Amino acid sequence: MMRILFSVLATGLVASCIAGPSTAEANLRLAWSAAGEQHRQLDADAPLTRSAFTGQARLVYDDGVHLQGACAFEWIADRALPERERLDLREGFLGIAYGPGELILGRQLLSWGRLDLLRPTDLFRRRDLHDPIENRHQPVWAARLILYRGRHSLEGVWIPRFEPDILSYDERNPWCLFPDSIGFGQLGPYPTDIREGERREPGGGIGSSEFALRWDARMGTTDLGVVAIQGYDPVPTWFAATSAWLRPDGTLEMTIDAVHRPITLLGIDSARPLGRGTLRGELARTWTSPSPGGHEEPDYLRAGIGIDQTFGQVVAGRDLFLLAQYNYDEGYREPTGFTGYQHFYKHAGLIRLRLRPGRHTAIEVETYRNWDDRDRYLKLELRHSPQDGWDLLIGALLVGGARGSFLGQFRDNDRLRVMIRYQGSHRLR
Amino acid sequence: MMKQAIREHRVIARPRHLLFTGTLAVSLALAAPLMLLPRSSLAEPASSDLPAREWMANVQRAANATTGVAEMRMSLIGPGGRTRHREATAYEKRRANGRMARLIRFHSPPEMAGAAVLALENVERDDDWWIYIPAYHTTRRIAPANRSDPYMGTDFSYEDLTDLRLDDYDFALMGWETIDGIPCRQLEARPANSAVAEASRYGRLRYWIDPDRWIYPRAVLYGHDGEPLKEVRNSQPITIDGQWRWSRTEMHGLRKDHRTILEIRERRIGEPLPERLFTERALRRPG
Repeated sequence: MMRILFSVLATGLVASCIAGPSTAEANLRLAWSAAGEQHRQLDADAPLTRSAFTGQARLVYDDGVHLQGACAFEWIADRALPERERLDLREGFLGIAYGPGELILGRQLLSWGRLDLLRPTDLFRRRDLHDPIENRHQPVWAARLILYRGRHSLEGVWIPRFEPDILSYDERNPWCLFPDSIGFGQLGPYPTDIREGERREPGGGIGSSEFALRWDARMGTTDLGVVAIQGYDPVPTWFAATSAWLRPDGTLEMTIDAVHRPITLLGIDSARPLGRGTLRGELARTWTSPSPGGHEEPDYLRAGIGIDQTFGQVVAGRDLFLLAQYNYDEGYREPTGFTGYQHFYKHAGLIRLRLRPGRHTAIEVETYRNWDDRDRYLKLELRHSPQDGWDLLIGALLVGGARGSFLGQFRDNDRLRVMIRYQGSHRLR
Repeated sequence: MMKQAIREHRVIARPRHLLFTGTLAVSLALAAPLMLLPRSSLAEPASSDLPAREWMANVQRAANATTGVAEMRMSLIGPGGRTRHREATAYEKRRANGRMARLIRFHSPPEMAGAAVLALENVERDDDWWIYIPAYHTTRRIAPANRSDPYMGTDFSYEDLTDLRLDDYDFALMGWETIDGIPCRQLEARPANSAVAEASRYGRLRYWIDPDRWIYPRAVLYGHDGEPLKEVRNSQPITIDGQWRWSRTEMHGLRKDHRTILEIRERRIGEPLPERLFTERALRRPG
């Protein structure tokens, strides 16, 4: 079915390319990028945790007003972590706008909410949890209809099949959440090899559709959004072990199936200028459907508020961007085994600083701290673009916290990161 | 007598190509502030007797079409001559309140593809600005206090994207000077109160205005210390449906010796643009 849908989209894209320009000059562009990246753990036996090449090619058509489409493929090769390797259709959508309506069909990056990093209302932003700090955005198949009227817009989203966040099962990945050994009472602990089962719940069929409505409004200087979502937990609500056996070498091999329970989410987000900065906030309440076996998850509230501001010429005549954000999760519980990504903080703070020593150089500092468990990370990055198309990045990540806390379990993951990337684009017409 | 002599000189001195060029690409008021890229209607008589404020009002009227679209290429030139390029499309539309909505959407370089800036000019309150950076997956409001920040590495700041509010400035006419062969009257604008001054990086703005076409080939924007911050040079004017537009605008950041040259590849005026294009929601188009 996806192939058929993709064919339709590709046809639409081609059709859009040969269609004449409407209002503006039509823009057909081919863009590509190639990036090499290494992550090197500090104080580790196997320090190289990423040695990857990422290539992207993207064809995009946009007449600016009525028609747009994009088709993008991404290829990831990772010598250090073969589990990350894939060739993906990253985008494949066609957007048609007429009058006050706009319809966008296909594979697309979909993200809601106004906060940074932790967004209570952003259910459709699939994450690649091979590296949770990286916060890499993944696409979904979706049909979106947006109606505009003055200061208001109403968006309906249908996601025909549920796709969860991407988890890592490979123990070579230092960000893998699964334990490398398990004990049973007096027995064990046994070294464990955990494998992904094939009976994820829900499966990938049409029965796992997700639906959402979003209303946006501009009221004076305030932007407001209200969302209602009927979908599934993007991270597993829990895991069901389907088989376990002790191999002759003493390793316990377990096959587990992720269970993503249906959830209903109601939320609002808002942004408005405040003084010399901008105030942003989100709030969402989530209800999890009980499982047929009677396993009940309590409903929970997530909220966040943040302010950002650019301070002019404060350091050596350069501007400084500062963002400070607070997040609250009522559903917080101590990270237990497999479901640690679910609710890993109750009170958390995020601060981000960005200084531009030069027009093409940026220094960014980001720090996150969980106020209850005191787990934390500090991320430092220096980005420089020596000329058009080229990006160099040198970064460091320091992770801390008690072993029993979410980030504390990864406290040996301090790393250095180096990336070099070339991007280019060519206008075809 | 002196005015008459200057007027005669102006008519004689006007280069013919200014009136008859039509094939050059156009610079656009959209991408840069109306105040940076105006045009004029020949039907409107120039009058040196107009109050200073009316000169600016005429420039603004002449520069703002009901709608407009422009494909542009920006060259960012550093002190050593190192050059970066940006390609973008700019849209503008007159709002129901009589003021303008302006949108610039970037296509290249690839890391900026999809990035956009939206400005909605208001009557009763501060203008609204938003920026969308695809990497952040969200729009951000630009606080009024940050409107003097440069955007996208260019020498333009957010406040350059919108028109001066006439009530917020005191205007004064000054002497005549010929710029690129065009006799121009100098017009100076100063913030009318401290609140306006604090919200802007400019302590005063001086324009060289051609009153026959209500366009200006030059402007100098001064900092609060009285020293020049930026210089604008407009060139290669053409007419589209009787409306004057520049094809090339150079913004020179004088203190950092950095330039942004904006060249218009194609422009259309008066074609219908839907309201939805100028909404914060539509900034987040996936393209």
